[in-house]
Amino acid sequence: MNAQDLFEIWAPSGGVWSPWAKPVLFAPAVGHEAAEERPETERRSPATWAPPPERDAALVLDLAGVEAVALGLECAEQGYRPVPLFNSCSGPAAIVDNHSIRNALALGASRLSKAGPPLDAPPAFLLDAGRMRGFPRPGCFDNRWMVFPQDLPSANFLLARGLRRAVLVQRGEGEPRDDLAHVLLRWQRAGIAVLAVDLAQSGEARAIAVRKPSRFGWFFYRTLAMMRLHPNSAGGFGAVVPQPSQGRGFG
Amino acid sequence: MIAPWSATPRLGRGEFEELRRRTIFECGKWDPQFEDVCVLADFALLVSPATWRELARLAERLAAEALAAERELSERPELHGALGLPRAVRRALRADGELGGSRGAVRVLRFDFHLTTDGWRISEVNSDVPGGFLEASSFGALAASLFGHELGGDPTSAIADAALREVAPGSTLALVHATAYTDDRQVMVHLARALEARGLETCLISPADLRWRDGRANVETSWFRGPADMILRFFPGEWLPSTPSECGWPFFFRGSRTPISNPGASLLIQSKRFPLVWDDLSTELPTWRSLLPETRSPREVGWRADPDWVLKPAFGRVGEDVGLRGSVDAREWRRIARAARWWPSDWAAQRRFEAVPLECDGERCFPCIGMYVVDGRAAGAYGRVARRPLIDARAQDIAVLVSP
Repeated sequence: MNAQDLFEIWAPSGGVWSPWAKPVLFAPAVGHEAAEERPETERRSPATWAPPPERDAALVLDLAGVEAVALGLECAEQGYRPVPLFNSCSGPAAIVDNHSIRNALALGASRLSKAGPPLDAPPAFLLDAGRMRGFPRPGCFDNRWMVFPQDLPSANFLLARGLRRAVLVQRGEGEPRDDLAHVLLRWQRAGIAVLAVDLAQSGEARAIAVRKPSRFGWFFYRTLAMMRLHPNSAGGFGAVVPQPSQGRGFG
Repeated sequence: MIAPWSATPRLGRGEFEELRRRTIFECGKWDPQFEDVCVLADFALLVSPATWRELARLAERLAAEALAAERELSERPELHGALGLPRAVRRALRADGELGGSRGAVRVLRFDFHLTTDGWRISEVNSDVPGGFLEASSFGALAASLFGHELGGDPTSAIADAALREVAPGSTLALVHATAYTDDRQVMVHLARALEARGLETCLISPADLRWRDGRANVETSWFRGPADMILRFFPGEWLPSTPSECGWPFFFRGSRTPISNPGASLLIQSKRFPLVWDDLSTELPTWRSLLPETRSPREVGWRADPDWVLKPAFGRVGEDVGLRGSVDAREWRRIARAARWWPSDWAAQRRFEAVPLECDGERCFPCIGMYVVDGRAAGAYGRVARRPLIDARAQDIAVLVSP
């Protein structure tokens, strides 16, 4: 299966949520990226959590990459449309392991095809909770990344599709990560109820009030965040990012 | 006045979806969506051959004047303070006398043209790290074949051909960028493909992967170690001082014997405050003076009371933080105005121009044509189109095609 065919399965033409699917991990590996490709076997999600049967919720699965894909596939079997938002490259000596996510996406394609959630099924946005984890070392490939409000649909778009709740699924975390808080607080302020599920705990969904992250609501938050993080940067976010926080574009 | 441009008909949904997919996979565009908006326009901008020739001529003149001014400014450190350059960059540029300016090669500039009620005007030059090659070249070529018109130029090929004139086949080019940002990396991957197609080797790295010996750049990564025969930089010059000192970032500004595209000195003309030093230069800038709206220090003009002044950060990019009253929301304007009051030396005030809108299916939009000049020759255009008269991250990429 080539890259386009694989992407078509995860982001089918005509799919309501397909425009938001990030293509980077579906693109053919280039140069040194290809050197680390390796086959893996499909993993099943260890989660016992089931998404709400009502069709008024958008899911945000912020889990270790492969687990997010695995749970996304389970959600697909229950009528949700997984939307991969993984937004960084893979490569040797990379800080964030994207190879396993690439493989999980490839291996999960047939299962997703079989599940065949409708094109307008509620979305399950897939994020890698490890996107900001790790520190740059000399000679390594800093591929850490962040999620920004423009990476997801607006609250207005969600509401127009009848989605009145957002369910954040994490493991070992009660609060959304700082970058994701920028998205969820916008949604919450627009009238979307935000619930959080911690798979390491009971797996019960509880309503949360998303705390206001720094620079919330700034139109140029992305650029400013990147500028702020850039001191000591090694080309990516650099050593200044011990706590995942806030990214950018030019020319 | 006969409009120098027009819009093609919009593509049908299926055709556009196909174009979008091909742009992702054939051109390598990984950021096709911005919130609820596709960043690719479903129509193209058509300009007449005469308009294309005029813009190309103007861009080449602007480039020649700008590079002459850059050379003079490199020798005039007393003027650097007025440009709003970070202190560390000023220090690095001042050392020129000892080590000599870093060797520039394959100079790439992009001039953003707007059609106004007074004719063509430019809003800025992107002389440091102009982007948009992927959209101008590959997306443009796809659109050209769909719409049945010609692409005016191909900046990617121009850059790759110019690189091949600079170094021998088989040479290694270090493509320096902020590796974590996929929207920057896609530009580097795009350029790497064009360079490799010409028999050059490429290495995609961060500036932190460079070490300098005798003024020559060496790459030290876990996947490649060795000398770089040339550097293509897509990492903003004003950010370089924030990289670790062992990476030798000052060599981007002085003392490099490895050719760099673009050298750090390009920041001298990238500054939106560049016009503030024109009267102190012996270099004549007639084309700049005729095309760039009046630009002053915020200290000198009454921008608070006069909405005809637009505030721009000295080193803002992609329209970021541009204070265009009435076009940015009130809260954003207050934040920008406060920053310009507190740090006026980091800002420029520029006379507002009235952009002429383009009608497309009854909808008004505001295009901007970014003309590339590579080593002195016009080399294609990056088109952007916005629903408001401000080109920023919400603007869409649009193919600029030349009508028969």
